[in-house]
Formats: sequence, structure tokens, C-alpha cells
Amino acid sequence: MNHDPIDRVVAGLRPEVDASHQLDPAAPAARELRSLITTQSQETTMALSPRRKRLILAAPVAAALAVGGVAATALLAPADDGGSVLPVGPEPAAADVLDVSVEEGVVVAEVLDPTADAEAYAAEFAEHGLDVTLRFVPASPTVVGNLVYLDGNMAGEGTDERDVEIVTSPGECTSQGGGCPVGVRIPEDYGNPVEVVFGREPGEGELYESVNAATAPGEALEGMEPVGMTVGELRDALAGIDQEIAAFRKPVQEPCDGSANGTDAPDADGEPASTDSEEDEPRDRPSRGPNDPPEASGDGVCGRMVELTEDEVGDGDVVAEVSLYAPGEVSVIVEGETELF
Amino acid sequence: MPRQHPARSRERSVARFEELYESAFGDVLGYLLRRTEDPDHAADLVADVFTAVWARIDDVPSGDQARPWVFGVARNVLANHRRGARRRNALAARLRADLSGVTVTPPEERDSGLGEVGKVFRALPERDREILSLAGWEQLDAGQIAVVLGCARGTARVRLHRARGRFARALRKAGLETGTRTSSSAVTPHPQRSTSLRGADR
Repeated sequence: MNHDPIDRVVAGLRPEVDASHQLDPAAPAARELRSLITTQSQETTMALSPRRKRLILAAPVAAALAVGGVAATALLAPADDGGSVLPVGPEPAAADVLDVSVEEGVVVAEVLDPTADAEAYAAEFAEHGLDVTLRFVPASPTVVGNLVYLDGNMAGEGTDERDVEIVTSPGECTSQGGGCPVGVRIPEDYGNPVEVVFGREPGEGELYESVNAATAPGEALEGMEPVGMTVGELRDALAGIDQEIAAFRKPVQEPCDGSANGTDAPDADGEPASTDSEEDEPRDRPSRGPNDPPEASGDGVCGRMVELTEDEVGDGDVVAEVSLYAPGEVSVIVEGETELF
Repeated sequence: MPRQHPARSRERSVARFEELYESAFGDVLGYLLRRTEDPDHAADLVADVFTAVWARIDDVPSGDQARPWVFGVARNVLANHRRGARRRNALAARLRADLSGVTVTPPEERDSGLGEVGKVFRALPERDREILSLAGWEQLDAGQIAVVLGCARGTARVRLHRARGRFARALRKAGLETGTRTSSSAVTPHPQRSTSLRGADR
């Protein structure tokens, strides 16, 4: 295939991947991934450290009949004593995944098996006429137990015009002073598929997938003002609170794909001017054929984030943003040649 | 979503997915490893790629367009990764552990004679590097590259042609001789090393 000499030069620059069985789709890890994708494509099987936290879903069904809604909220309570913070009524019907009972018109559904897969939860919700996919993602401390994602029309094809509402608990969960988003209220027999994602504690070695602002009350950098610090100052400050910097990134400018400087005006050879701007030697490439189509215009994104190695970051670089990365770790964006985008 | 399909249709979808997975997994993972040089991220990325392929299994083109189409998904996943999106794909836990034993060696580390050539290559615009590496590293032809990039075949051909031209000029400008005229060898920064330049493939 590579008859072109330049392609052969490029081939010579190919990074060498030293992997034997790992690239084999029949190897155990690859086979496991394949079957997980088609059976789950969910993240509910991740460890939820059930010894320390218990998730309770409360669904006021009788009230729902009156007001036309079913609510699901996640509450977290110490569970080591086996007690529950919510009243549990008569002996629940046998259920392996959700423990459902009714008291004063409220269905209390307690998650017994936080590692159960999505299908199992879905079946429980289906009994209330709902198509709900419930997932948990590792989250920073103030987001644990909070609703982090709600999609009331998952496939985008639903026709139910009613709204899924977010239930907030009293208290100040966000820097804006809003309540904590702890659940959703779903109209009974709601026709659209719903996806609900709650934050949970990360397991060993997991990275956060949902985070609050790093400096929010209750988060690792509470009370700090890292933006504008030098990297050296930030390192010192972080050392005092037992946090490490996991990664550095920096915004850089790049020619836009097909429309380098935001203008569509090509230069003499029909290419965006900036692509060739540094070249002053005569061009010797063959002329374009009459039927060659013009180059497609790009989408105008003219910058990107590059990951920096430790060596590429100076102590004098200025911190543009710090975000939570994992327990004990933050990631840092340093000021670059272009604005954040 | 595939899991909402009727049973028969789901069976067909699973079979189609497994066939694609078998044929493309190694190549796509290799592509991600070469482009990120990071086995830890590559496991999550390859899981993201095939999760996306499964979610869109009904959109996969038929025949020999399917494989480059999967590369197109991989390219998008990689672009998101580079824009700073980072997530752990829970399905990749075991693969991630498995890939921790993988190493990716940049060419200069196994052949210092490639340092200058590599420098010139890295100075090219990203779009040139991308299309050149799709051809030179992943062995895709212009028609397949068109599927990956989501552009017309002619456009891919022109882009590839121009990228080659720019790389050749940049190499000459850096005083590195290219084989574009003689077509007998690749690049010869030191003529006696020409074999090592090409010997990288094994």
C-alpha cells in the first residue's frame, strides 16, 4: 500500500507498541469488554462501598396518584447498624434489588444491592410504569449522593410532554446558594425513557467523573484562591493540604481545520493562507487536478488543550484553573497563548 | 438503543457488533496507543469507542467501509480526549489492568537517527500529521481515510497529497534528503542509515 516514499518515512516514525496478547480481541480482558458492552454499557457494576453508604430511593406513589408524580430521591445514611433513616412499613414484597414498602402513601424503595445492574433497577421502576435507567458515577465529596445527571428523554424520541422535575433538599449545595439536587420527580406512567445518574464515592484508584468547584465548601481546596497563583505557589499550598497535581494542561492555538484564521479566503494556491505562511521556498507539488474538490472547511475550533509533562511546566507559570481530579489529586490548567475555550 | 430492539433484531445486532469487534479491536487499540502513547488512557478510550459503536450499531456502513468507520469513531473519541474530556469507562477495568504491561516506544528512542525527521514531522500542522499517520501508521488508503474523516474520497486524496508535499518540503528545508525523486529509499539524513529508517516496522 505504501508506495509513496513519504508514507514510508512516516511509517518509520510509527511509535512501536510492545503488546502481544493485549491487542488480541480473543484475550480474556478484551472478551470481557466485548460482552460487557453488549450486555450492560452501564456503570452500575462499579463498587459502591456498600459498607459505608446506603442509598435509599423514596417514591411517594399514593401522593403520586393525587399529584400525578413519582419521585425518586437518593438519601445517604450510615448503614453499619443496619438501620434506616426512613420509616419502613409492612414487610416488603420479596425483591433482590430494591426493597419496596408503603407507608402513609409513600413508597420507600431501598437499594439493597448497589452493585446490581441497570436491568434490575429498571424492572423495579417498570412496576411503576416508568422506564428509568439508574447509574452511579464516582464524584467529589460534596457531590456524593447528589443527582448529577438527568435526561428525561433519553433516546430523544419520547413524546411525553410532561416534565421530569429535580427534587432539591434544603441546604446549600452549590456556590450559588441553591439546594442540593437529590432526586427527581417523575410523573407516573411517564412515557419517555429517563436516565438518572447519582454521584457516589470513588472506589480505590478511580477518578472523579462528577465534581464540584475545587474551592467549594467541603471540597479539597475550600478557602483557597488558586487562580492567578504561580505553579510554584500552588505546589506549596497543595503540599499543606495533602493534595497532588495529577496533570497539567495548557490551551494552545492551532490552525483551524480547513479555515485556518477564521476566514474562508484562500491564498493563491487555494489553501488557507496561514497553513503555508512560514514557507518561502518555491512550491513544487503537482498542480491540482481540475476535478479535485476544494478542501472542506473545518468547524472553526482554533485551539486545543495539550497535556504538559512535568518538565514542560515552570514554577513561574500562572494557574488559570484548578479542578478536582481524584481523591488527593487535582488537575491544573496553566495560562497559555490563548484564552480558555 | 440496541437493547430496546426486538429479540431477533438484537441477536443480529450483537452478531454484527462481535464481528466488528473481532476485526477491528486490535487495530483500533493500536491506533489509540500510538496516538496517546498512554496505555492507561487507551483502555478507557477503546472501551468508549466500542461502546459508541454498539450504541450506533444500526448506523455502521456495510462491507469494507465498516472498519474505517470504526476508526472514525475512534478519531472522535480521541479528539474529545484531547479537548480535556476524561472519564473512566467502568467496563474497561480489567483491560486497563491488562494494558499496564504495554509499552509504547517513540521512534527516536529506538533509532536516534530519526530524531531530526521526527522533529520535522511534529512541526507539521496536526491535520497533516493526522492524515499522514492514518496512511503511514494505520495503513489506510485514501478511500478509507475519507470514511474516517467523514469527507469525500477526492477531498481525502487531495488532503493526503498536500500533506505529503508539505512534509517533503519541510524535510528538504531541514536539509534532510527525501526519496521523492529517486523513489529508491525513504529519507536519508545519513545515507548509511537509510535501512534503519525503514527497519522500524519490525
